[in-house]
Amino acid sequence: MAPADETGEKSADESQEDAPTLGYSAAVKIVCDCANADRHNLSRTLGELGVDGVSFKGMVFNAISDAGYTIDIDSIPNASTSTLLSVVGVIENAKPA
Amino acid sequence: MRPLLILVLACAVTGLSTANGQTPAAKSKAAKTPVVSGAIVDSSNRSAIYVTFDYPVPVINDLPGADRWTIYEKTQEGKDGPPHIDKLEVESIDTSDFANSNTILLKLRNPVSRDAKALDMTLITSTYILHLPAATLPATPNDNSASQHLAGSTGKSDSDIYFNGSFAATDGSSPIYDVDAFAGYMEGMQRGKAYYGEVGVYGQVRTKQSLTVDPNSFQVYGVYQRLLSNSSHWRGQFQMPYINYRFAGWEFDLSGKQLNFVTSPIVAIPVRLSKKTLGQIEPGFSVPHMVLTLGPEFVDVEKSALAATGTWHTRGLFAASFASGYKAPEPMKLFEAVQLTSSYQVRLPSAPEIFYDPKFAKLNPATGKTVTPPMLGTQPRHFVDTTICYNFVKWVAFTFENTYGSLPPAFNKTDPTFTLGLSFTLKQTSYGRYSILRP
Repeated sequence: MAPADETGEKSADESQEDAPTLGYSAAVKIVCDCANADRHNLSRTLGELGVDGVSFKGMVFNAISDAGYTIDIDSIPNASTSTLLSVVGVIENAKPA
Repeated sequence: MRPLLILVLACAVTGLSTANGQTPAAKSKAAKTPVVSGAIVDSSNRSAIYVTFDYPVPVINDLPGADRWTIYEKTQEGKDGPPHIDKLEVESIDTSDFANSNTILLKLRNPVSRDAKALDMTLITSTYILHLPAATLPATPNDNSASQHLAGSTGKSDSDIYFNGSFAATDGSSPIYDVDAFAGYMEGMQRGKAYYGEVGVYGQVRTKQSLTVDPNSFQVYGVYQRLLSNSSHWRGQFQMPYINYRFAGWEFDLSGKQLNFVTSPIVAIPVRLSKKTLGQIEPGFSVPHMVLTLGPEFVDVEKSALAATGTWHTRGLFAASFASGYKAPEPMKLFEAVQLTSSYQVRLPSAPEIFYDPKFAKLNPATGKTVTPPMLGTQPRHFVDTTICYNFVKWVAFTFENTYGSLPPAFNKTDPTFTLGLSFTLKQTSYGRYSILRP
């Protein structure tokens, strides 16, 4: 999939105000790797994927740190009813460490 | 044994929904109409919206062009004036990754505003109109995620506050109550990029077939929890193990006859019964998984009806929990989900510990009542708990539970018993349920 920012036009104001974040694509890779599931399963919950939430949350935090970003660990959803997509929606906002 | 008339002590069920959860509306589309599980605005590029489909996914060649998407953004009310609504134009659609992720990329002509509070997205084709669930917007500095920490839960395995109560009315004698409840909360310890684990408090109450409401096992712990390494990788079917250090806790019964102080570092090893990276999973089915836990429990008996007090001894602890289930992929009448959870734990005391076994019960001629005397022994203390949870609607479930064995501190041994009840469940979206050993 082509990088979206090649076609999106940001206003000068937007570009100045937006802080760099982890972004969607990196977040998807981290979440799927930590759930040991491919990207077809973004709609699935941790419970459906047989993923332990405690371990998953720590692994996601470690992967975000390895990528040079940081996030409030308590904000990472890890209930068995949390979908991978809901985790992506949170961790894509991780800020540079 | 007299036949028991099983009655149910019902419990209310309450839940708060997360902002990121899939809305029921997304699931209620007619058959063959595609379902969108979520739309996310890229935090690093607000001109990109990723839309992920769930079952049934659309035939990608049948998806219409950019002009069939209608997107409005609603900005929040601010100092400059009331909220207003603007239309966002989709410039093009990228479907190149759809085969790998069921996701398409909508490229907008102008980015989503930083003031946007919500997006209203609709896809109109020649055969259906699809209203998308609320899109996830990039976080703003004022976002407060604390309001999302509690959410409704669908079962015992994903709950941090759980209550299951039932009673059996016997023919001609007092009713028999059964209480199974726990509650807890974990909070991360973090300074910037440095993560020091999580700390929290857990409590658990368990009684089985008491002749009065007299829970025979209270456990309260302070818990420290952390992954054993900073890795983020699986090893085959094994997820990264973590330590559950119940650094200070008490086990006691309601009568106050038995009180133990316990400190216990145990290791939990999550195992998924599938070795490879999971490919596409059908909605509803839960891949079976287990958590193995093992470690010592260091016990200081502070008060006891029979055992020596003021001395420490050790219990070896091994436990395993198993969970699997099925959730209806589409709304069904009186069926939301069914879940099987089962756990086994055994404690191996290094010194004689108290226990109560009904088979040694004696008749007290003075009162005419049967009394089970306390006894001492070092025999293994097993406990098995199997629960089938049937959610006939979301958040409300019948539970069928079978238990056997005994729990500390009094170790009241019970024969296999079956109970039926309704469950009250409420969970943290960020939870540490396994720190108290049972699913």
